[in-house]
Amino acid sequence: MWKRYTTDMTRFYFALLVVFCMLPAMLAAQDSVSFKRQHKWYIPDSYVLQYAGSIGFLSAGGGYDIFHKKASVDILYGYLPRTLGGHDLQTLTLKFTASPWKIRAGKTTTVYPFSIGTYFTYTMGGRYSSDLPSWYPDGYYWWSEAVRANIFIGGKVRHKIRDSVWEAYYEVGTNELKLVSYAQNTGYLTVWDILHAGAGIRFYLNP
Amino acid sequence: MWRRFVRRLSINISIIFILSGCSLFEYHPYEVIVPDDERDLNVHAIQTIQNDVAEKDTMTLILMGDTQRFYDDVDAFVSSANQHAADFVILNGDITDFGINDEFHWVHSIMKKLNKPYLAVIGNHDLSGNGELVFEKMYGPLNYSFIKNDFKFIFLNTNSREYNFNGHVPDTTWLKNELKGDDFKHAVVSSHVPPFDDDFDPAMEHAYARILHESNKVDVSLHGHTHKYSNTQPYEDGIQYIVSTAMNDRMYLILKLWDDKYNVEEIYY
Repeated sequence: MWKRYTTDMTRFYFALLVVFCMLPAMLAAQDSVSFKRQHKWYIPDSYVLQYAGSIGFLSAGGGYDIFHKKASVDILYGYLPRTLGGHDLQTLTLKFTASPWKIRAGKTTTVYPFSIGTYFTYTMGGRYSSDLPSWYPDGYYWWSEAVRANIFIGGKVRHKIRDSVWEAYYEVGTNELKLVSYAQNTGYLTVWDILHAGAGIRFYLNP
Repeated sequence: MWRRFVRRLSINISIIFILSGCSLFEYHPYEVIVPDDERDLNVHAIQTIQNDVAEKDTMTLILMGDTQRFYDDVDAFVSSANQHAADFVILNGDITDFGINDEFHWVHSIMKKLNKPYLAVIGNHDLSGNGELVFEKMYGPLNYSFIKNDFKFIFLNTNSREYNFNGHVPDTTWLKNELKGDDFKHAVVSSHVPPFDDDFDPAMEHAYARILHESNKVDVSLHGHTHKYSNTQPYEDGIQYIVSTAMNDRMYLILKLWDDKYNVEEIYY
């Protein structure tokens, strides 16, 4: 509908993002002892790869542990190729996840039975407007095409392998547009209609 | 003991995912994923009309639209409409509210329970996000037409504001062409935004009305969008502009067409 000039730019920014995230990881891998506890605040504690979850076919990014590792903040880049979803969709996601309870399950395994969180997604490209374009009267559409707000619950399992830590997680949630659709149509729609799921793995280099 | 618990938990999680099917995994609200049995719905509906509707003088249509975020009301509409005889139903745009993939499927899952075919026209809300791509895959072209019993039914995209009034929506060249020809006697034009609405390109309004008038074939023009039933002749040219209301008003119209005559009945449910 509108111009598609942003695609190349977003690809460029993504390449930068990958370099920004992966370079410290590669350096750290070479010299993990001296790197430990000395890394800069902006270097992620963990690296994430996620499938689905309404933010792309595959998403990758970094995570920061907060609140004594009971919660995390993730920044993810997600991509949905045209062949799988009808259009190339690129998103940036800011996610907050709290996993307050843990159950030890053996020497190397910990189960976090319940996670709860929220994430905001920005879909890149001029096709998806953040604000209402100028040719609409004020308040014509109340939602933004580019920005979605999601809530979710889920769980994860943490497993220690030698010096590294791996986590596998899943989440089930919805966004504000589907939630308002359900709230006004509880006769026809069921909760299952508005839910979407995602699953992923998280890797800690220097746990 | 814990190990067994973990194993059981992971088995449970996999069972949940398997039972709910892959559909729970959504890639993006604006993904364009349409299953095979939900493709080209307008094309299939026209085939059904051509095959099943008998040769006769009077055509009976049900007019409704603006189903956007009114799923409970659309469900009730289907129950009501199934009790009335009609050749087909026109869903006059704003199928969805946000143009997201799920909404198109929710509305079709209700509308497919109709005991007659339905044809969908694109509305301004359907053009949000990737709605235009979903509509094209699911229903077919944005502008289309067919002839049945000497009537030509023409459906087109009149959501000019969604294209920043670029002068190409509605496609008046296409419309003019469609109204030519001697293989039909009367034409019925159906679109979401009526020409007298602010969301119709103001520079094209009168030219559009003139095209309908000068064709000498159009007696009624059918619309949605305003969420208010109206039945007027705004251009005093003998063409009746009939606008159906939104589904939350729990009202739809039954339109009978014969020769250059018509009759509109309001149905409340």
